[in-house]
Amino acid sequence: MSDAVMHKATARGLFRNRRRLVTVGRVLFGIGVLLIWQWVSALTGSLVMSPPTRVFARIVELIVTGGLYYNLGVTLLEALVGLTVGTLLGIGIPFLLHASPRVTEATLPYFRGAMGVPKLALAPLFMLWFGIGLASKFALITLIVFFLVFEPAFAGLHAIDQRLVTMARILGASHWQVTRKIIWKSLLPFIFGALKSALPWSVAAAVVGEFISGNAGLGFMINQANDLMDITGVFAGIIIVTTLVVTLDIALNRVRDQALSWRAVDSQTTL
Amino acid sequence: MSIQRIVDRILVGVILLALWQLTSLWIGFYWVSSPLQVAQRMVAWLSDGTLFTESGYTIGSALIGFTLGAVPGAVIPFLLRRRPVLAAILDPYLVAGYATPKLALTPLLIVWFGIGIWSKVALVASISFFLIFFNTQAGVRGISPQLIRMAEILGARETKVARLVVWPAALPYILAGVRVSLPFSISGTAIAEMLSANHGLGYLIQASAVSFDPTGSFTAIITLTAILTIVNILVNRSERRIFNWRPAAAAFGRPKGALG
Amino acid sequence: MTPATSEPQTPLLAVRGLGKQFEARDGRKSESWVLRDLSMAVVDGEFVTLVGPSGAGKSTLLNMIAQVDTPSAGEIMLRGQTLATGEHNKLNPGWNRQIGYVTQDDNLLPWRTLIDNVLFPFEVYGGVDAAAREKAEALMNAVGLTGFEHYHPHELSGGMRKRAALIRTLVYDPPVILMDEPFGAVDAQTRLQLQNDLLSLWRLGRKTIVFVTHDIGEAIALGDRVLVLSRAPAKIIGEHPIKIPRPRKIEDVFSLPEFPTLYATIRAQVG
Repeated sequence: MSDAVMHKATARGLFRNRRRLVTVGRVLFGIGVLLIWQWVSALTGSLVMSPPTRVFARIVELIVTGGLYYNLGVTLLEALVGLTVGTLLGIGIPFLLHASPRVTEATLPYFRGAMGVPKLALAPLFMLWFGIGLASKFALITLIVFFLVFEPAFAGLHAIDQRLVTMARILGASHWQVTRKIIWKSLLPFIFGALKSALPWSVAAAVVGEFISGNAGLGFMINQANDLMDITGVFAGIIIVTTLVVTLDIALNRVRDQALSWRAVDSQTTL
Repeated sequence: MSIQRIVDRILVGVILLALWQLTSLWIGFYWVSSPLQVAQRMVAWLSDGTLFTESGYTIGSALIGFTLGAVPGAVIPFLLRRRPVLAAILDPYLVAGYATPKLALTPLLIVWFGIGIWSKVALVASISFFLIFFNTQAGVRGISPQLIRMAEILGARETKVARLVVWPAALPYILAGVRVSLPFSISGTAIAEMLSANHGLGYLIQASAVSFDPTGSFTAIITLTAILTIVNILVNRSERRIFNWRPAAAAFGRPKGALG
Repeated sequence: MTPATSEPQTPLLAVRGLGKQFEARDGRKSESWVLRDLSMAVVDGEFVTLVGPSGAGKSTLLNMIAQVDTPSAGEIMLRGQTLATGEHNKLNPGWNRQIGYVTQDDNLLPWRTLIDNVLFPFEVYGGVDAAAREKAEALMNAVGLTGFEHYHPHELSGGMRKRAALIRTLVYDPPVILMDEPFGAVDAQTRLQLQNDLLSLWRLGRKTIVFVTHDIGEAIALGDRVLVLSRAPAKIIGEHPIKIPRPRKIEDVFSLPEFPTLYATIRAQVG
């Protein structure tokens, strides 16, 4: 019996040690990466690589002086407008199609075909048509988000449990009530699934659009730094874009967890 | 398929093409080109070999980059399988790498690797590494511990377990990663070519657009789409051939949250 | 021909004072023992069946003997050699192929054909030669799987998969075979067939078998000796030599005059 207790005690000690080991390891690895980064940038010179100290100083400077907010705001605006309009269309059109099987049948192959087109490759044409300002980015991001949302929304609409609809009808629900309380609720998981990939895409598309041609935004900021051979600025910009994507993703997860709190915990949907 | 359905579909196609042609007559060819012009250009660029050369640059860069990223992406999860502490240490850094929008790295990669194919290779390698890594890791971690235990009881040692149990079990996940990242490697290359290059389909799209030649852009975009479609078909087909052992209805899940 | 129960022969497999205590999720020691002070011995060529109420730690016991789980106390010995104790427990699953284990799930590899699954033990250890093939084919023939060699597991019935799992262990001749309710989850007819198959295979090879079940009838019909496990913390609370002559046919055992008394005695002990 005493040996059993001993065994348990060592196992617990090991468990605690392992967690400590992981934490220490993570910190050391992070420090190691920063040191190597610093060292490599010293070797190559600041025209190729900028040391982490300077990059972080630049990020702080951008935040403190406020130089960041205009460009951040532009990119965020482009992404969110495109995301909103694209999502609305991506949900709305499947709903409209749902009303007419004949129209669905006739147009679906074209939707599917268009899905295969790499939308970002259309960016240069959009710049040609809508100019280098906000309009071209709105159009581009809307298009990308639309196709990311359309397919899951369409599939979700067809996967709705008809028994639930029938049940609601029997209980006396109106058409509008069925749409809102059953169809919309059943569709939500599909929509959140689509948004999970649409959200990072909308930011990436805004930045790429601004790279190609733009006069504001984080992509423009990075491009400008690049033109001035200001590698510190390029690094800072990339880190800010990544932070933006991660922040938006976390925010979306929060919203989704609230909206879908009735669902069983889905271990697959964590990043 | 009923005749009405076929007629409907053709009708929609004809209407779309007619709308395009009419728009171009109304706004001007310089802005939106037209189906006829695109068809003519397609023939011209096919016969003078332009499309073959430029596609070659794009596909070549994409394949080199894909290989450089996918191989370590598929191998590392196997090495980490029996090293849970190391895996846990690296995990937040890998997630951060996965979350980074790789396309935003393009300007930096061009500074480092020049405007030739190597900046595109580096971009595509960074894209495919993380996609394949997380897919493979999901497969390696998702394997039933009972199967591994069974193999060990039957006398299998680590290398045999890895080769005969873990690898076949993870293969569907790896291929799911290929299905996503291979087409993405090609379109990613094209996007990097739009930003800075002197060859490739992406370069063709961008160069035509800035010289008010939307016909050229459309022709290149259609070519790119055709290549992507063919790649998709090939990947799906080989996947089906490899997995003839599993029940037709079985679906293998891929981790969600595809941050490109 | 039945080996006597309490012969002074050195047991092939011996378990002494075995205990298992699970750790709570937070890593703290839980006071509850699944299994405690359990001792038993099995002689060479014996077919021992273990019955007990569900949740009595039957699988835990087999897992510890098979070396896929660590004991918290006590020791396990094979041919007088200690495999595991409460203190020293570096796991060595199957103890270099000395202990075979047929689990509740068939655990066939879904991507391998039936014959490749049966040959798997050779492939991971030693290699597949003509003798191995011959043996695999003979066993497949003995249980009526001839003709299904090149099917994948998902194409076969549950009973066929159970047979394949059984002969996958028999094919490499481990001196001790553990079986954990291998015939659970199949219909009564198939179950009877599988039990008869097992008996005829056993008659050919005379392996040492430890067979766990919650079906008292099955325990009596198959075993030379029935051991009864108590509720958790499990220990052996009853031992019943079965004097029914072999070869047996399962369906005949149930109609023997001594069967009802045996059944009732064991039933009362299982509780």
